[in-house]
Amino acid sequence: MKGPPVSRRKFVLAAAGMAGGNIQFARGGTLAARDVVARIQANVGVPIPNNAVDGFKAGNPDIAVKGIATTAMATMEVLRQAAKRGLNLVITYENVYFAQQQTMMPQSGSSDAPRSGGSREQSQQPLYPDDPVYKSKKEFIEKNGMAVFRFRDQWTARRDNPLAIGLGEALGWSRYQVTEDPTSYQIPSIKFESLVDDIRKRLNMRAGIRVVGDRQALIRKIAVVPGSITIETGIRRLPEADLLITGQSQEWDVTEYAFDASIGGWKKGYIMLGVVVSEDPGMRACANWIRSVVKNVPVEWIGMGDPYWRPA
Amino acid sequence: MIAREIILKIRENLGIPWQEKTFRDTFKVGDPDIEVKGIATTCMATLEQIQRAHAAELNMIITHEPTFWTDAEQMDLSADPVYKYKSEYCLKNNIVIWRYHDHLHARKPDVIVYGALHDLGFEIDKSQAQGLPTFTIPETTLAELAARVRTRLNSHAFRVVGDPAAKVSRIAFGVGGGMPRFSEKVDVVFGGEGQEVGGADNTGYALDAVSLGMAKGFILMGHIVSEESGMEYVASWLKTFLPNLPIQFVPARELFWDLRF
Repeated sequence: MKGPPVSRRKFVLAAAGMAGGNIQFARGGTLAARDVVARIQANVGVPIPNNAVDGFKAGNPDIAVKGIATTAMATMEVLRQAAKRGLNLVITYENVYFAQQQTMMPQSGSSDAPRSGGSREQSQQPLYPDDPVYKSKKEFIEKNGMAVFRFRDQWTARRDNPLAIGLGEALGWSRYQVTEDPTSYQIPSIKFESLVDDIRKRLNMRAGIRVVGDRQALIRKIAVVPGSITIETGIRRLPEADLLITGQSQEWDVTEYAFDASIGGWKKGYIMLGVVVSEDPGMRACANWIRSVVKNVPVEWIGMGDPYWRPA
Repeated sequence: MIAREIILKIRENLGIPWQEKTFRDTFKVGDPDIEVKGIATTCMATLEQIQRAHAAELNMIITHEPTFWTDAEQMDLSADPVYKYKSEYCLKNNIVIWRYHDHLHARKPDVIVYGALHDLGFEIDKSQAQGLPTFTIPETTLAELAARVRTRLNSHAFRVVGDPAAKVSRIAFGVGGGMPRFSEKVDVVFGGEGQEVGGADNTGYALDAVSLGMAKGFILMGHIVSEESGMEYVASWLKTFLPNLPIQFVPARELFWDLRF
């Protein structure tokens, strides 16, 4: 489900809190997490999609909010940082308690939305209740008077695509965005190899980045799709672009497709950044936006960064 | 011998019943009635692998993973330029491709899992190399274990989560897309590739476990490199009942760049 088209200008106006009633904390007054969340949801500009995974996932929705942290993934590290900075409402794009399902990779779906996991999630089993990681995390959240709200489907339902805008901005390409399409960029031509160096530096990447294609290819037209993509998206986006950037796909779908294209002589590239790295900037954008609708309480983004390393 | 007859030979020698409902273990491109000059086994029939097989005059390719980028092959790819190029290359050069997936994993032991364990130097009872095995190795550090495995695989998609100094010994092992999960009894989960989120969620779990001071590690070896040993075994197995045919394992070149960190 998509919201109404919102131009970049209107997005900025909405972000400035002019599109809906924004929320003010009275001096010395407090608001419960569920009230803050309700106001956030009312201001997104699009309805909560059916079957959205959005909702409180941990902690107590009745806590008085002292500060808000946004993050791509509410890991223990992120929760600790939030607690240290007095940010007791954590707004996360991905899960807080990991599903821990023994699983094969999903079959091709047809979702273009920058979401991860998607429809399968509902059928997954939660962690075992006596799992030590689950127990410790839950305890930490409760002991520190926190609430964790998952904000994914409504945030990504915005036509202006804040995840793609965020990633485009983090890559330094905002001014090269194709009009009305935050998933398309036309940058000054650059050799693929040099562009990969630049991307790795800008996103502070370690071993999570995986790159396919011709190192010498000249890259100008770029498709940016945060999260996970399916082969349908790959086959639609790669032929029209010089480079496709996403969070993840599988080695035998879009990866093999891009590899085959390069062996067949197409001068193209494909980059998987990792899901969380691709979603991190979109949640920084989320903090900026929340700041405009929830006043007088600190709102900070806590970046996840690249989770992976590699032995030499 | 024609390609179709080779498959009949494979079915006769499998040692397990044929699953007639398989949509994976079927011909993917080319004419099953062509005369086979030689067989190339590979983990993934990329265009490059097909070209290499053709150069070696091996016109039947047995691949573990998909040729045209989907598992169930329900997409209409006829208008796609890369599809046209790849399929026409096969037809023009009389190449036939057959996928050998489900009946490899169904064998006892799982040929792909056992092949990987064997090549990585993990000593494990063959009878346990089924599904996603768990086993214990002499205690080592996550860094040492990861380095040892990476050197063997030479993977460019090798990714690790966890404290390099963590002392580990209890392994849950998967290859390809088969992903085990963590439990109290597991220090290190091995997988080929997995969803970073929305699946087993091993990345997030390992990050949290490490933050909590637990000695856990998550090693993603890369999908292709983790399943390749099994396809090398398939080549030698085929030779036992197709003695007069040139048969070669064609290792996949890495799809990914070798980036240094």
